[in-house]
Amino acid sequence: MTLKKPQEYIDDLRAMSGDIDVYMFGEKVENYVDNPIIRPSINAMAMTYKLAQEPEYEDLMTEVSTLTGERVNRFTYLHQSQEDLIKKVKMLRLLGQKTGCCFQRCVGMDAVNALYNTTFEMDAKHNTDYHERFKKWLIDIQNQDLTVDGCMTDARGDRSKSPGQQPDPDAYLHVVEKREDGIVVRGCKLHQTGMINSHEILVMPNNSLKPGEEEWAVCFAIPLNTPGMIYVYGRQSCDTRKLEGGDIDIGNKYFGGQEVMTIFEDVFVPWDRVFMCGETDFTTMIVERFAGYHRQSYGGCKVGVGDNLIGCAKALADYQGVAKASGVKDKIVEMCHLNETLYACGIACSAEGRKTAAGNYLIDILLANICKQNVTRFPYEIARLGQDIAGGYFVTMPSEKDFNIPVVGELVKKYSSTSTEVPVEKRQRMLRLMENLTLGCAAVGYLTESMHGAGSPQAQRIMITRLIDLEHRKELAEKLCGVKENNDVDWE
Amino acid sequence: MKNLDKRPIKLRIKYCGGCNPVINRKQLVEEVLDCLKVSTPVELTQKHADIALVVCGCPTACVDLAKIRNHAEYLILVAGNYINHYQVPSDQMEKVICQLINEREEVKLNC
Repeated sequence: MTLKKPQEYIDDLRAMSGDIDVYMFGEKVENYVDNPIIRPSINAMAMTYKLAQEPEYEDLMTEVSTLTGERVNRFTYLHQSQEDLIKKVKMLRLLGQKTGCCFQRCVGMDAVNALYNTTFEMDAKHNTDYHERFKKWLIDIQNQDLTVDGCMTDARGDRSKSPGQQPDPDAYLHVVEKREDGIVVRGCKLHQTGMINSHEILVMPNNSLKPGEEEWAVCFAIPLNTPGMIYVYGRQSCDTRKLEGGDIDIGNKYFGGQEVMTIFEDVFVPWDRVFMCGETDFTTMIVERFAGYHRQSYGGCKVGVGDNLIGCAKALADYQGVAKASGVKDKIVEMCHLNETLYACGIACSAEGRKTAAGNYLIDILLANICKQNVTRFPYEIARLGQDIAGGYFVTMPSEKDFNIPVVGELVKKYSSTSTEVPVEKRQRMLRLMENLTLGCAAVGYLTESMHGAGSPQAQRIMITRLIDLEHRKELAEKLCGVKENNDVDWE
Repeated sequence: MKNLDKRPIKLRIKYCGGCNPVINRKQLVEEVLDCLKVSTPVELTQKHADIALVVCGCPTACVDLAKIRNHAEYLILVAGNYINHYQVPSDQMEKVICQLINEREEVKLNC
């Protein structure tokens, strides 16, 4: 069975949950699958399984594996063409539309594709066998349709110091012991999106490393329930609303994202699951390629969430009787323009992708960084325009319980109504969705993750500086104005 | 396989359109031909060739390789700073290409 059903995926998590140390609000969570704060993020991940089952989404959600010949979920697939890279972006937009949040599975797909081609080139240089180990592991992932959490960002301690200079070597995850049968690692990965919704963790180094920093140059995969793993669930704005029992004030009735502090407390990894161990000269490649793939992803997933936000603004304009105002119409056009520009960047870096030595395709790294740089800005402007159109009631409106109490509830409804044709509850729900997307739980994914996920804005600017050929552009200008001879013009 | 026989290597050179190059394509080809003058007789051709040297200005390599493959025994793909999908330092590009032309068996690599 290659394509898992959503219920089978949730059953997997339920079977694992007893073996996993998850903490939240100072307590160990015994059954995180049915916890009301965590469950929306599991639902979002389940949607990646659900849509793969549906004929009307099959073309985007699945592809035939080059490793097994079986049809697999695209989230476990190795991109074989520019068309595949484009379909990835379209798939992520679709899922953003369906869930209205970060659905968490792209990070594993991006890590898988980056490690596939990096291990191949590492083996060619160092005569190692990481690529074959990795392929074997990946075939298992594809055959079982497992979710992988790509895991990169370390705790990082003093940001002015490299891993080898940190007073606490655990500030970056590292190898503390090499044994005959494997390695032992210690450290912490922060901001791990979708971590406890995954079956497997695929770890990569945080940054470029230099000789002398071999112990931090490590890639490996482990199951989530490996002994020594500790997971501390991250808070989100308005998270405890999910404990209140209603279904209006949470904004998004079904779905949400998830970020987890992930601690590796002397965790053993057998050699057949180790895909880099000490090759500092390939740390730049793995970091740049993973970041590149992931920066491409944002040109799909955030656009899909943006589609929901635009829809929310349009609905509120309709419900509140301002849809015909030229200023409102123009703001919605601007929201669409910004959102489609992000999509265009995601498509562009895919269409300009290239084949790697391993055979799978890599996005255009420069354009992927341009894509992500825009993502650090445009969702904030789209959110600002959405809030502008919504008006201020989405942050001052009474709770849903106040709408239902005797006497006062009727007054709250009376003074919350707009048109007789629009039931108060419709407006109430839509305002809460605006709140959810722009400053509630989903804003973690739509705004702050847009800023810092896959690298903060300055990380992209560093890459743009490295990849753009300014001398070429200078020469173009010099030829035009006569500073340099222009041999192209050879006619009289 | 070293080019030990004296027959000139038939070399077909195909450029991409050159919209946004990160390398100087023309200069690279001139350097390769200069380098080959010393070791390897070369006959440039636009017809069927022993080797097609496809020179693209950036890693995207938008030239339609399918059209070229049928007209050459071996293919060397230069795509920005990548040769046959492996990154090569800028100052070694010409040397690596000449080496691949001289050892044609290696050129089969995954193009």
